Amino acid sequence: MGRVCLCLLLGLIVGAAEAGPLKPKSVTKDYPYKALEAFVHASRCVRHQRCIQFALNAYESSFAESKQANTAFNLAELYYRLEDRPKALEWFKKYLELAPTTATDREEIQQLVKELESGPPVVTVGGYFDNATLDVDAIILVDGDVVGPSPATIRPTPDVEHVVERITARSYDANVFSVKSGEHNYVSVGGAMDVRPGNVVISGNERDASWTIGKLRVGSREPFQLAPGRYTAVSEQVCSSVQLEVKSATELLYVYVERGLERTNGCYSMKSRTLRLKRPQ
Amino acid sequence: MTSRVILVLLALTANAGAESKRKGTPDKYAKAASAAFLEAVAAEERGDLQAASDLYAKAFEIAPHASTAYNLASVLLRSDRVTAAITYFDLYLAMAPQASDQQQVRAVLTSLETRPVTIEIKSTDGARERIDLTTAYILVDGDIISRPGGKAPFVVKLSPGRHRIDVVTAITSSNVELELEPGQPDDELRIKATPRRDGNVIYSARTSITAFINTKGAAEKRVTSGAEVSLPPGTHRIGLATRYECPPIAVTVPKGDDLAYVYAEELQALPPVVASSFPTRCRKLVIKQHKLTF
Repeated sequence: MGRVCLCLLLGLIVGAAEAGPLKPKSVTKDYPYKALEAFVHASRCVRHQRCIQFALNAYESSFAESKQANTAFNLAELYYRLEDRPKALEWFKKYLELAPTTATDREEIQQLVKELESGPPVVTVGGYFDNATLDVDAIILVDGDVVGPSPATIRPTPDVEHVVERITARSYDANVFSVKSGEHNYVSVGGAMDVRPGNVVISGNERDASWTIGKLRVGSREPFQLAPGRYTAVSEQVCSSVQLEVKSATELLYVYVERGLERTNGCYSMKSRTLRLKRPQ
Repeated sequence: MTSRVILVLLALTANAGAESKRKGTPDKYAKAASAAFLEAVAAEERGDLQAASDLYAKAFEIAPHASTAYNLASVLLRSDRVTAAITYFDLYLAMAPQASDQQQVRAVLTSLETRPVTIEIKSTDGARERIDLTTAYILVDGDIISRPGGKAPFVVKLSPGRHRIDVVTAITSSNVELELEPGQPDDELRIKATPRRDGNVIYSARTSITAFINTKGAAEKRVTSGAEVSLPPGTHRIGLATRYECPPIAVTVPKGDDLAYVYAEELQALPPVVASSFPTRCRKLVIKQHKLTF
């Protein structure tokens, strides 16, 4: 019974040690007064959840006065909570340089540094509005797949170009982006109510592609209007054609063409997929 | 809370004694601080808390010491200068981490920092902008705390931090953003309103959240908090954005003279830093809506 109880207790302790958010640290006896005072003022702002810019400045003043590991840690922790990952990374690294090798959280912080440097990127995709209006109730597509309503958070493959599109009842916008490991970014896609009519759009990973449908010539990612019926779209670049079956004047026929990397016999291979999108109201 | 006299004097004079053979400079500061400290103790004993706090502050500025910080905090607290007392209790805890009363002082500090502030909401006295609060809806952070027919005094207890107060009558609306410091004394808030407000939708946002209204039958508008909005009765989809797009919301606009009240707040542990572009997303929003009937 005693052995079982001890095991349970150890399990609880280990579990508790592994879990939990970062906690700000306190001053130590090594702090000269000026550094201590700035540190205390900064910590109080953070504890009260106010005057955060002051807190950042005060921690940096404290560090300038006396380069203490705990100050570096608290700066890193604060930037981390503010989701400023580059700054958090910078200060976690400084903490690791200054903290003793026996610091109990060294391994945890090293892991966090690794995640900040090279963890999977996270991107939020949404509208761009600035001084204009924002067309709401959009859907987001990434590389030809619907990911959800706008804004949408995705985890894209790093160092690769991705096509992102934002479609509302009245507008269509597209953008291309790439992101590095460890980055958390916002990618804005249209949204400024730039009304672009059309019930067909041929999208894809080839920005400059153009398509011919009978006498009509259209560019990639540019909506156009077709009456209900069957059509064939051809491009000089790709070896195959794309078949279009337009069923409705109001439903959006969306085709994503993925062009291959190499030319064979003067043209590129391709794969395409078609979506029928009921436009958000 | 008793003053700590002997220990501080010994510390200051001991330092002076040990240093006087080697260096002149620390000795003169320690002596000056000690003299100010003794004067502060005397002032405190005769009940002159203002003089005591000034002299403890002087001693602390000459030669920072944990016990001086403690004494100063104690006197400030007794003088109802709670915000300043918090600062010096905080310094005391940092300067004397091994002190036997750490836990006790920390408990006092926490209690002071979290103590709610009582605010009495009143109308301005000016004739043009006066509001009859008994005919108004009073909302705090999006929650109705008083409806038409309510009676004075209109009192709320608010935790330290930022709060938004809206006061809406049938023809006026006004809002105030309050920032309450920990330890702040109870206070009154005077509200005023311009004599006329048009529109049937009151949009109130505690942080910088812009609303975009571009529904059928309505002009496309970008609306900031407190702006007047008119929309036809029915349900409307409204876009929201901080620096980044947030999920849109549905707002039901009532018929007749009733108003739709919409409150938006970004749920976050820390207020954003103005100069920073982080976080790179809209954080979770808290949305509260009410139909206000007059």
